[in-house]
Order: sequence, then structure tokens, then C-alpha cells
Amino acid sequence: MRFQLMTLWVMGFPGESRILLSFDGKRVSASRGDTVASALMKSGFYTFSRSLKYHRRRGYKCGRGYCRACLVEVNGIPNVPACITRVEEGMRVRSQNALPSAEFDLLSVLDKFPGLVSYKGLYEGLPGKWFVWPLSWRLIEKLVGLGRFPQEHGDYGKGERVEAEVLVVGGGLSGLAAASLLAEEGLNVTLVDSMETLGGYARLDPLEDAGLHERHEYESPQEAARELSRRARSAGVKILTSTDAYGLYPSKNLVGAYVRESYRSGRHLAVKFKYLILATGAYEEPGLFENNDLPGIMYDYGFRRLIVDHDFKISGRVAVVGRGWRASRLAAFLEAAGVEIVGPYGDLSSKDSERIIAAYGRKKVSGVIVDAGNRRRIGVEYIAVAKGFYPALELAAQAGVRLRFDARIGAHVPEHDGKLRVLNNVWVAGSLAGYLSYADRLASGLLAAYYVLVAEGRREYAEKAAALASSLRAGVLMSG
Amino acid sequence: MGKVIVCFCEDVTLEEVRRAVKEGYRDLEHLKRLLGIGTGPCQGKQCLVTVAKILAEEAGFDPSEIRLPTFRPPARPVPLGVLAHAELEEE
Amino acid sequence: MQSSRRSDYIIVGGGVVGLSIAYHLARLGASVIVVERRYVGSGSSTRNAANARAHFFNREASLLAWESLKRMYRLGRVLGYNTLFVRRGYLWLFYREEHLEGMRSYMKTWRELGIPEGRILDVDELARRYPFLNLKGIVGGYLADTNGRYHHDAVVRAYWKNCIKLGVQVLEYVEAEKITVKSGRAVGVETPVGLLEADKAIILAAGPWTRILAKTAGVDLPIEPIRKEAMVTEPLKITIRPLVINTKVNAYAQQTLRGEVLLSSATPLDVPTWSYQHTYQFPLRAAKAMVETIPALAAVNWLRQWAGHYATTPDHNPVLGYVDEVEGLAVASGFSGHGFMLAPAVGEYMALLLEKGYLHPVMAPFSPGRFREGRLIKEDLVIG
Ligand SMILES: Cc1cc2nc3c(=O)[nH]c(=O)nc-3n(C[C@H](O)[C@H](O)[C@H](O)COP(=O)(O)OP(=O)(O)OC[C@H]3O[C@@H](n4cnc5c(N)ncnc54)[C@H](O)[C@@H]3O)c2cc1C
Ligand code: FES
Repeated sequence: MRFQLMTLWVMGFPGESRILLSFDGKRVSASRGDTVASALMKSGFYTFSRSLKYHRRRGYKCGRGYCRACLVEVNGIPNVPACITRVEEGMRVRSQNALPSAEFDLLSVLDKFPGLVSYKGLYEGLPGKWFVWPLSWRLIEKLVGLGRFPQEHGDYGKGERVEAEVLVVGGGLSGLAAASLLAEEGLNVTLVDSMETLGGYARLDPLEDAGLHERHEYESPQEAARELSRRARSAGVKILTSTDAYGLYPSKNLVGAYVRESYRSGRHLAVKFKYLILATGAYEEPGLFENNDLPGIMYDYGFRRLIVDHDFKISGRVAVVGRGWRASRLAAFLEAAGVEIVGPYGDLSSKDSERIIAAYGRKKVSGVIVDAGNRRRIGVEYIAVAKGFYPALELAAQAGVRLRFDARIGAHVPEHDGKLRVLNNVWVAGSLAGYLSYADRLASGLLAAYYVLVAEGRREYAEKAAALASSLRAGVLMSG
Repeated sequence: MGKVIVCFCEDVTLEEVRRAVKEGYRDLEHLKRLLGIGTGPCQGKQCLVTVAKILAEEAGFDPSEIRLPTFRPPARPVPLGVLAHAELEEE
Repeated sequence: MQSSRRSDYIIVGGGVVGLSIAYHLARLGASVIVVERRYVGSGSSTRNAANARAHFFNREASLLAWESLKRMYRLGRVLGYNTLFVRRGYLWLFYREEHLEGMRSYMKTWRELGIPEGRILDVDELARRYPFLNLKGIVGGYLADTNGRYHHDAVVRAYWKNCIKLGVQVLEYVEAEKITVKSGRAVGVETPVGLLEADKAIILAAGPWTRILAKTAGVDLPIEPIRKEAMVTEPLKITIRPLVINTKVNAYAQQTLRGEVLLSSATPLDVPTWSYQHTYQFPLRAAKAMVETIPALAAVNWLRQWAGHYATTPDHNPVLGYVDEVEGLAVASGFSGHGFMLAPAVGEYMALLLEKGYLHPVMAPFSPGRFREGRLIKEDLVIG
């Protein structure tokens, strides 16, 4: 008790109640808005767990639940993504796959002898003789797996069925634009998003955007996200946040979803739809350089989220990786926030004259090696990676939608009929459909909504759709 | 020299992918089954595109010729307890 | 492709069975071409649950399976490639006294056949050994720890690599379209890359598609493509070592060699279809069944589901050997869900039959002619 009071006194801000949790037995103090990930990092814990084979350090990267680099054990439940799990009083957080702890893991020797656990080693049998294989199995069986078997069973509620005239998956600019328009036009719209707050990537980008301003009259992506969220709410869109649409079953007109209530509870949702708009956005392209997995290396979204949502203080320098407009915007954002940056640089995947070829650091990244004809070491505290965008096409692809390689973005996109339709009653929009700029992403959401209205018999939208489609085509060329 | 990781879940390095392609594994499906790429907790969200690029580069394919492995549910992990309490559709 | 269009044998199907036959034929000195419609292993051989057992509920299958299991034990050593076999055991859980009784009496048969026995575990022992089980309604279990699991991709690759070493041509993305029959004899396989000719025989090891190909030669085989699904979770430290089978609902779960929990369950959706399409209900049903059996699974995250085929025959046993209707045409299919574990023995026996003309007695009962002749293999004990 006394210790607790002391901690409060030392760490607490006046008027704000602190939440106490533990990480591998050490005390961590957090504020209400923290996730397990932000709380750990604020207390200086960057290594959450160790990786599967080589026991390398793993921690926060994407900041939105998909990269799974931040998995930890919470109160006996394994493989909990720390970045989308809110702190709760008394939480016991444990690192995974580490002996004895994430910070000091004896098994990290495996990283020094990769032959032992690499695919060559496993199949072709290092140390090479068949008679040691059963032996190596005993060992391998001890090593495999990330988390421990659950010590607790969780508490999962009864599933539900929901009917929606329109289901929109994804609450970024395109999904929000589509949902709010359709609801304003009187349709019964449900929108699901896997994050706690709507607005997608745009929500974390407060700088001016000329295209958005010209074509949609919003100053910034952040403002557009805020305004569209407000519109969606007031138009009566049923909004389900912290909800992962996990499967699309087109023959049943059904999307299966998981409503996350906490790290140990939640329920199933079966959403029957008449029309479906997929606006699932995109994943980020990882940086390619030596030690590109050190803690402190994060994706654009994850890095922004720490600053915007968690009031994370960046004290040192940040290296930005990526050569496109996203990297420039991130650099500008960081500078505006008073953070000193170096870069943007290319990496091993680019032919740039200035490339990051390696990161270094012991417990977390502490510098980068930049190759610009000669090699230079630059001390940095974080690396923020803002390279390409890969469409989050799982739902479409599962449902059998054909994929097309899009050379512009260097990845596959769902193939649509020229009118964003990918299946009889399913449309795609936003970066999932390959649109890059904010203005295009937003417009493509509107366009998908127009097509749904046309399908619903609202002829007047056919003309509007044609006009918007042609301006969008021009827009794609501009941003591509 | 430090490792360049391409699949963060399964700890697969750039070097390993290159070597496997050189050994004749010219199909993402085979690379996946040999190296484990795309089979970990993120289910390929970070590695598939990178590996496809490396494959195209090393084997001299056009990226558009590369066949992606089959996509299957779930798009995001779901606890079995959630599924166990779901309403079953009538058959 | 400037490879030969002619060889002693043409095998249709680059699954584990086709590759095992090819390997054994090549070992006997024959020249072999394998044609595979997609990539090697793309059929059920990379979609299975990767378990091998000797304990079947009829003599014929038990004997064949035991011969195969013994070969599975040393397969890695023979092929010079670690197939990652571990004796994890099978654990059948019984919910009805008569099933437990049936099992007890069937153990005698296995003993007679020389198959290592498992043991009956009472509820107390189950509780002690497997604290993760929900024992409600369970009257006992049967643990057979000679059985085990392999890594299916490693086994397929081990055969494939050895085939290549022995000069077998394995053609991927080449589909056999039709069997060419000349005066009652199968002489070639038509493919988009041209006619492939076989001097000695053509072997159909094309899983459920075997039926379609046989039909092009005028042979009717009762093999149905029953869709079967499975799913895995995120990897965990290994706790569920044996294959845990819930005989009440016919579902099972086990941790794979990588620590993922693999689940499957019989569902009303196990219907004949060519489609590999996954279904919405499968994961819900399998999760329901196995969370009830192993409650802690509730907190484990599901990662992937997929579908494959059981190439199923009327008596749920394979079809192995020459067909009667056409000369020079053999089949190895209809495994009804157990073909992977049988591949080591089947490959060897098929090669003996083809190249040496020797019909191994263990394989003899599985002749394709048995359906016409009404000599179906009977299941002695039905559980579940
Ligand atoms: C969910 C599930 C779980 C299972 N669990 C187990 C288990 O635990 N243990 C076990 O032993 N078995 C199990 N099985 C069964 C096992 O997978 C099969 O019996 C086994 O893989 C059969 O091997 P195969 O080579 O005969 O067929 P396949 O692997 O299906 O190979 C047939 C091949 O033929 C090819 N082909 C088809 N038509 C043509 C054509 N016209 N031209 C060229 N190629 C063609 C296909 O592409 C395919 O690759 C399971 C199956 C499933 C679906
Ligand atoms: S899943 Fe948490 S950081 Fe990516």
C-alpha cells in the first residue's frame, strides 16, 4: 500500500487517476487512455515478447491489431495484442516465449546459431544425422509456440444475428463517406471497424491536404474523419467499433464478425446484408534493412497513434523510411510536433541514393546505418516506416473475388467491374480499391454509395455516379 | 551481420527466401510451406507482398505472374470461445 | 519443356500417394513421369490433419496401416529428410459404456494382428494425465501411443526430392485430361503439353479426381469427393500432445508440431462437392465441440480454416491395384480420409505389383474389383 502511494505520488498527474499493472512482475503505472502497449513503452519496456524461432525482440509496430508483434499474456490469457487492449487495474502482463524474461532471454542464443532452427536445420537435419532427429524433436517441442496454454478460459457472450440493408466494413474516410450518405438517403446502414475510434488512417493526419480541400472542402484528413464520423452518427448509422469482420460468405449474404469487449470477453456477430461495401483499407509495407525488427521501429500509423492518442513523448531523433508522399507527410507531421527527424530514406528495396541499410541497438533501436555512397551511423531513438500500402483484401479474396496486380502500388487489388462492384451485391472503396490520395479515397466511398443507390432503384444517382467516376479516374492519374 | 526479416511472425530472413528460390522453389505456395511465411499470427499481412517481390526479382518473373496463396477466414484472429457461442445458421 | 514424353509409367497426381509410388518405382529402376494439375501436394496431401495410426476397426485396414506406420517411423531416415514424425498418440474419449466395451473387446483383434496395444484409461487417470479435459459425460478413454503425427509438407517434400534425385519427372501445372485406350489397353495420358505415353502402365493417384479420369477410359469407380474442413489456432506452448478425439460428436483437436491447435469435426456440410470452398458453419461447429471437450481452448485465437477432400468409397477403404476393365491401368485412391498415413506402404506395394507383378497379401483385399463383386470390407466396430 505504501509503495503504491509512493508510485502515485511519483508518477501521477494531478487530478488524473493512475492505473497500476505489472509486466513480468515489475510495476507499471498507466493513465486511463493507455493501451497495454503504450503503458509499457511509457515505462520504458519496449520488448514485449520474443519471436518464434530466433527469440528476437518483439514489440509494438502497427498499432492497430494486425501485425501481432505486440502479443503478450494478460491475466493468464495468451497471445493478447497489447496495442488494442485497454489497461485495467491490476492486470498481470507477462512476456511470451522468453526464458526467463523478455528483457533477458537465454534462448536468444538461437539467434546466433540460426542453422539449428532454420528450415534447413529442421528438415535436412542439423546436426545432420538422422539419429539425432527424435532428440531434436524433444527439444523442438519445448521451443515451439508463442504463449502458454490458457490459464483462464475467458468469458464469451452469446452470439447475435443482425440484419442490415447495407453493411460497411471499415470506418476510414471511404467507409464513413459511404455509410453516412446511404444513411442520409434513408437506408438502414451498419458500419463495423476494428479500432475503438472511427476515422482510420486519416484520423491521425492533422496537416492540410490540398486535394481534400479542393474537392471535398475539408481542411485536413483529420477534420474529414471527424466530420464524417459525426455525420454518420447523426444520420443514424449503426456503428460497431472494436469489431473485426473476419469472414465474408457471399452465398449467404453474411459477414461473420467478432465484437471485442476486452482481452478476455466478446461475442460473435452474424450480419446478414443486402448490400456490402468493403472499405477495409490497407496494411503497411515493412522496411527492409538489417535488424528491421528491433523494438522502436514502427509503422506510420502506429507511430502517429502513440503521439495523437497516447500523448507519447518523443525525446530523441526519429528516422523516417519511405520515399513517397506518405513519408513526406509523416516527416512534416513530426516536425510540426517538434520532433527532430532524419530522412526520409530509402531502404534495401529501393534504388535510392540515400538508403538505410541497417538499424542497430541493444534493447531497442539506437541508430541507423545510412548508405549514401559512404556509410554513416546516425543515432536515433525511433524509426518510423511509411513505405507502401497493401490493400487489406482478405475478405474480398476469401469470397472468391479475383485479384489483379496493380503495378502502381506494387500489390494486388480486388478486380472490379469498372464500377467498384466485385460481386453481385458487394462493392469496394478506398485504398482497398487501390485509391491513394485522401481525396480519391473519400470520393471512391461516395461513388460506391452511389452505385448502391442505383442498385436500390434510385435512378437519379446514375448520372452523379458517372460524373464522379470520371473525376475520380482523373484523380487516380494525378496521385499515381 | 544482422538479419533482414521478411516474415516477422515466423522469423524468416531475406537470405532464406533468396536461397529457397535459388534452390528451385518458384511458387509462393511452396515457399510458404517450406519456410512458414504467411502462416503465423499475422497470416501474411506483412510478408506476402515482400516475398512475392523477392520471388519475382530472384526468379525473373513479372510480379503480375505470381500466384498468391488461397485466402481463408478469418481475416483477423477470433477466440474459439466466441465461435463456440455463435448462433448457428439454419442449414 | 524438352523432356521425354514417354516412360515406363505415367502417374497422374502429385500428392503423397502418387509421389510415393513414383519413388518406389524409380527405386526399382523404372522410368516415371508424374503429372500434377497444380502444384505438388495441392490436393489433400497438404490439407490433412497429419496423423497416423495403426488402430482401425477392421482387420484389413489395421494391417495395412500398421505396415505403413512402421515405415512412417523410419521414413525420414530412409529418405534422408526429416519428416518430423513424433509419437504423440491418439486419445479416444468415450461417452457411452458400450463404446468403451467395444473398444476393450476389439483390442484382442489388434493383439492377434501383432499391432502394439494402447490402454484403456479410466476417468481418474484421464483427469490426472490430461487436466485440460472436461470429463463431464466421459466414461473412459483409449490411449494408443504408438500412433503419431508427421509434418505433411515435409513428407511430401521428402518424397518429391527423392523422386527428382532418382530421375522421376514431376510436371507441375500439367493436367491429365484423358486416358488414351488402344485395343483395350491404356497407353497414354493426354495433357495440354501433349500426349504422354506409358510403356508399362498408367497409375491414377489423383485423389477424388481419379473417378473422372477413370471414366475417360470407360472405368467406373465409386469414389466420391467429400469435402472435409479443418482449422488451426495461433501457436501455443505444447500441452495437448495426443490427438484428442471426442467420439460423441466425432470431432478432434491436437496441437501441431508448431504448437497450433488443429481442430476438425464432422458436420452436416461434409457433402460430395468438388469445391474447396470453406464454410461459415464449420468453425462454429468445430469450436463448439472442442471447447466443450477442452474448455481452455475458448481463449485461444483461431487463425485459419481450409477445406480438402476425403476421396470416399462405399466401404470407406482405399482402392488399390489394376482395374479389371482396361489393361495397363492401375489406381491408388479412395482413401476415405486416411491416405496420407497409408502412403509409405501403398507406394511400396503398388510398385511391387506394377514392376514385379507381385500382389502383396496386405494390399490384396483393396482391389478395385471388390465393389462389382460385392466383397466390401466390413467395419467391425462403429463408434460415434
Ligand atoms: C481435413 C482432412 C484431414 C485429413 N486427415 C488425415 C490424417 O490425419 N491422416 C491421414 O492419413 N490422412 C488424412 N486425410 C486424408 C489424406 O489427406 C488423403 O487421403 C491423402 O492426402 C491422399 O493423398 P493422394 O496423393 O491420394 O491425394 P491428393 O493429395 O489429393 O493428390 C491428388 C493429386 O492429384 C492431382 N490431380 C487431380 N486430377 C488431376 C489431373 N487430371 N491431372 C493431374 N493431376 C491431377 C491433384 O491436384 C492432387 O494434387 C485428411 C484429409 C482431409 C481433407
Ligand atoms: S498488432 Fe499490436 S502492434 Fe501490431
